[in-house]
Amino acid sequence: MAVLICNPYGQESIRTHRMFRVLADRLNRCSIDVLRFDYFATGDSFGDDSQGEFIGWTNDVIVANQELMKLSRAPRIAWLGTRLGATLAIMASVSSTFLPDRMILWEPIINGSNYLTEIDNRFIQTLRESYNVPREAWGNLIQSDEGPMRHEGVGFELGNILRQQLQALTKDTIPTPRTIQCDVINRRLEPEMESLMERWRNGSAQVDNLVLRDEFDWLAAEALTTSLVPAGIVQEFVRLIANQK
Amino acid sequence: MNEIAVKMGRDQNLIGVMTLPEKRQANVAVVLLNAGVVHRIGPHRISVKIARHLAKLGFATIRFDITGIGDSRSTNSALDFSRQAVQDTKSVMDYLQSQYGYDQFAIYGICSGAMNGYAAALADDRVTGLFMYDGYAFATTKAKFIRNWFRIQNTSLKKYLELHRRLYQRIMRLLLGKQDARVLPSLVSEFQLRLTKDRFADGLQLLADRGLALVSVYSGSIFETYNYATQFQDAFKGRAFLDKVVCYYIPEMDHLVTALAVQDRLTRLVAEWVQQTSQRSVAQQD
Repeated sequence: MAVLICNPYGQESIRTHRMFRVLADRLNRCSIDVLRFDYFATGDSFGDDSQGEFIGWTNDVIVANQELMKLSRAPRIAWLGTRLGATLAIMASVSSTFLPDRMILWEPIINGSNYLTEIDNRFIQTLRESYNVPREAWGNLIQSDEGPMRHEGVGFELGNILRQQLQALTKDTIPTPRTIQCDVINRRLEPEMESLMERWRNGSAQVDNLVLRDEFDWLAAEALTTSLVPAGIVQEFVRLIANQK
Repeated sequence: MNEIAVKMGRDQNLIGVMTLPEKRQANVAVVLLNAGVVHRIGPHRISVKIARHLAKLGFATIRFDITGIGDSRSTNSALDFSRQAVQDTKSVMDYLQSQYGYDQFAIYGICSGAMNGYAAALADDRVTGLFMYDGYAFATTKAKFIRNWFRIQNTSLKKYLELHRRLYQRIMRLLLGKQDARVLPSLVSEFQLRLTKDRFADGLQLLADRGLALVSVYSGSIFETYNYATQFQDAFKGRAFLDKVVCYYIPEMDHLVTALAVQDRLTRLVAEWVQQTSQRSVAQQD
């Protein structure tokens, strides 16, 4: 078994970096190869923040998977996608000829508008908490439709294409993942996710839901009050992946 | 511009990315340190943005993870975190010297990165420039007054009395030995415990005497400790290094450089400092 980790977006990616590094080490001890990578215009990869968009990133998942297959030669491949990375993994499974044996989708983004609102609100909160002297004017700039900070998402430039793609992302536009076994992980099962999973099951996909009760603050600017590598979450993923290798 | 992922260090545990310019302009390479626990790309990818901007100006950079942070594995080293950070930075400079021929280095860091950079600069003569963003800060009497005045202005009488009640209780617990005196409100203050103002000043004097290009920037996020433009001058009144350290207090900037405008401003400040470091190195060689 080999695992491809599909990162979340922006601050969430920074927030989860060390956790996935530790998870990769733990899986490796169970003789499972792991590939972590940065999509174009994120992390260490080439490209400016503003150039990131779904089509390129979906293709990046497919290219990374090819690299994992080449390096690992493992007979079975699992994709672990987190937040927007889970959504991209679903899209990649549909546009690729490759069939992943398993997909683990951790809190996939299935409503882009809500996600943008979450990012905007967190951006305002982050700026408010960043200064001892609050700068309320910045909150107004973020919220105004034409404001200079309208194209920012908690420290990352959100390009026009990506923003439009996120706005158009709904549960109705998300295809059924092409895989043999799909596990969806959430803190709580929201009705929107439940109905999407029902559609996937009607499309004859094997879909299981798992509840991971550990709270995880995806967009935390600093991990001063939360765990950077939550032991419970790492253990749960190791158990989930290693037990079924 | 070209970027290369590298493995460095005696144990080959240090992971970094070199950003090389198309045309090398100087013998100074820039070392970008981790900010706290954020991996080498920096808060909001600022280290990547700085590295690529500097490459356009002809400067090579390396951003890397110190031992136990980001992608760099822990080792069996017995060194504590701060000493290990210095050792790691020296190892990275050794790598850049042996593999790319750089013999002078400019070190940049945010928060704990600034503190690690300061320690590395003192420990290694190859360092010719140091940029500290929200590094060591020392509150003056005026800064404490401004902080308290701000608190009073922004606190209702009820909250004000409540704050003083809690403060009184805390002092009593301290006096009665029921509370660790090291319990402090922020990470920055915790780091400061390691170094007194006088020792910091002595170190800064040594760096100034060595001719380093020194920049210290303070953001609006550390208002509790640093909150007016001439605080650095007041804190180190009479010290000979004062006219050799460029110090900015920029309240519009935040500790983790969140807004893009803040990122642009920091990038420009870093670029100016690197160019200054390079010019100084050339002048000293002449």
